[in-house]
Amino acid sequence: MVITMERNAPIKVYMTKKLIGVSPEDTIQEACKIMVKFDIGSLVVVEDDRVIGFFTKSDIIRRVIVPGLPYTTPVKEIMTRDLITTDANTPVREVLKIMAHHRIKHILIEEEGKIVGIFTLSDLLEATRRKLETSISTE
Amino acid sequence: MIKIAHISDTHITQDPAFKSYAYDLIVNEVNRGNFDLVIHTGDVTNQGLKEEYEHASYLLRKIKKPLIVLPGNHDARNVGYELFEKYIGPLYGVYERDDLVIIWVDSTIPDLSDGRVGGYKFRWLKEKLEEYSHKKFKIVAAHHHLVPLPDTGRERNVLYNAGDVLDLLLRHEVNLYLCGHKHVPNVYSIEDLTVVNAGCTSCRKTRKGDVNSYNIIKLNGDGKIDVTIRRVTGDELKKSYKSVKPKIFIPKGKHLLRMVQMSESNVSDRIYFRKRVLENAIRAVNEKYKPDLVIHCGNIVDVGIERYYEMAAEYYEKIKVEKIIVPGHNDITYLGYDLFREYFGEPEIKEFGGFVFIPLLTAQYETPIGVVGRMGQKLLHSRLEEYKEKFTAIVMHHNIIPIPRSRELGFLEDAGNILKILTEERTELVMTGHGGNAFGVRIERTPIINAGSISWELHRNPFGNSFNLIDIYEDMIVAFEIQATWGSRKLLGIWKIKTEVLWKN
Repeated sequence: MVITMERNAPIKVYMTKKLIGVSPEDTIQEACKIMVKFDIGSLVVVEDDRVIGFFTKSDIIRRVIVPGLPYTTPVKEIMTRDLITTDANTPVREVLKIMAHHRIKHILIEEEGKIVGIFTLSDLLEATRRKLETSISTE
Repeated sequence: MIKIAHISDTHITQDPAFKSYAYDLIVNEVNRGNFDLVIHTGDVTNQGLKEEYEHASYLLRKIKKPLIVLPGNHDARNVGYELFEKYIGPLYGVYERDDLVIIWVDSTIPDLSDGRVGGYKFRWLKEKLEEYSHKKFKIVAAHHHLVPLPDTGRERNVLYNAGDVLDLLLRHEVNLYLCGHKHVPNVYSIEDLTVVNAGCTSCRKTRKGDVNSYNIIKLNGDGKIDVTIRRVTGDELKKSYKSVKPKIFIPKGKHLLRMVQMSESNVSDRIYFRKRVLENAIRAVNEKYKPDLVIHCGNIVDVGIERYYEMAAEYYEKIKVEKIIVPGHNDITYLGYDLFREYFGEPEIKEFGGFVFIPLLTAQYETPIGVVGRMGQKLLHSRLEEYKEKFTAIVMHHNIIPIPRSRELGFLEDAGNILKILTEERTELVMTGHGGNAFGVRIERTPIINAGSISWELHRNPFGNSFNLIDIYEDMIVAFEIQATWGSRKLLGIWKIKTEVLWKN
């Protein structure tokens, strides 16, 4: 099977535009419940409609489970504050390079200084599966 | 701020079909107004004839503003598309100015009224959208309408691949889609895309006794888009849209209801019926998802015969929670009309506390084309009024928005009127199940979710057989598509509920 995808498309085409988030004071347990309910591997942390932090399931393993922090720790204490982002118009191929370079599976997408989306390896899988094509006819 | 005059369907000809006084009136208004540019979304001429093009070329020069003109189906008649290029301009093109890009594409098919944006055109459009991705305002224009329009009689001439085009525009965050074709002025927001249909500028053929009109579009610096439908009588209808970014959802509200929505089981002994997949899915519904309600949006059997109904009843007996099952066109073939009622009962309105589920019957005997009809529309309207205070959800078979990868033939004759009623009544949720692919978008305030096929091999979904899981919270609706074999899920849509209504309590 040949896996093809549109490497030149801007990342906005394949990113998830609707972000699911928690407040900085929410506990890790509350956040994990949301991750399970929505079947997602990461959450943004939101204050006044702005994304101020981010964390993934593996961050929870590394920063909560291994050091033995209580589940009641607020997410602001374990979230990543220095976010790795890229512009919404960056082509998919460039985004994949950035992700490989940083060895990350999730990247936040920025537009006019605001985080507006997220692109993950699941979105990449979806991008290879759901190409923007039409089979209606050639003309 | 950029101000655009959107005219369409001038139908210039020597016949009385062309109303020259309406044309002059609108052109004068446009010339006097402080418009930055004018866009004509097709059907410049009436028959694509040489003398019409000559006449049109003279009349279009009366417009003293930058002008973009697209071909319509009438212009493509009699090989008129070649004359279009000679007398009017290119069939495709890009107009760029400051923060704005307008990309226009020829959606016509020679000598047919229908439209399509096939592979070459689609790829060209995609490349242009990639190239101009950075523009703040992206406008795509084509002659044919993208979503069903009200008051168009038999709703048949949408773009064949309207679903694919809609998906492309939404993914590329296009702000506006401008079109004409049906002589019905209309504005809808679909997620962040505003779809603007122009009425006809100077053709005698208006609908429902309407008069000629054009649209005024303002693109404001803050991203707000104002659309005014201005009729020659001076009457104006205004709408404004602004996309909210970022779209962040913080799940704090109370969970109120969980539904599983499925469609096209097509239970039968044919090889295309995937018995195991349906069994797995039913098991997952019972053991894992545990919904309050299961909704089946049509085609529970492949054909309406007793043996298949017996099999279907056996499968669906296993689901113990409340079910709402509406018939699709397969279900009422042969003796299916009676058998459906015998095995699954007459679809009835069901109330759950603050929620009401209204089945809308659309299937017609032995044809895939559905209809609600004029009496049905009135009944729907009165039902929605009656249950205004509740969370109203409509359950129906035929889709009322185009579905990606399906060939859009206008499967519901009066889809335009139904869509209008549902959006104007701010129906909280619409669930459909036709086209074999899952899709969810919000039009105006109404989320519309289509279910793919749960167990029929002949589907159009790259994700495979699937069903939808819909959770309603007090402040949002969340819809996932669940792969019927593997159980993997993906988000179909998530929409905030902003209305303050009683059903929340």
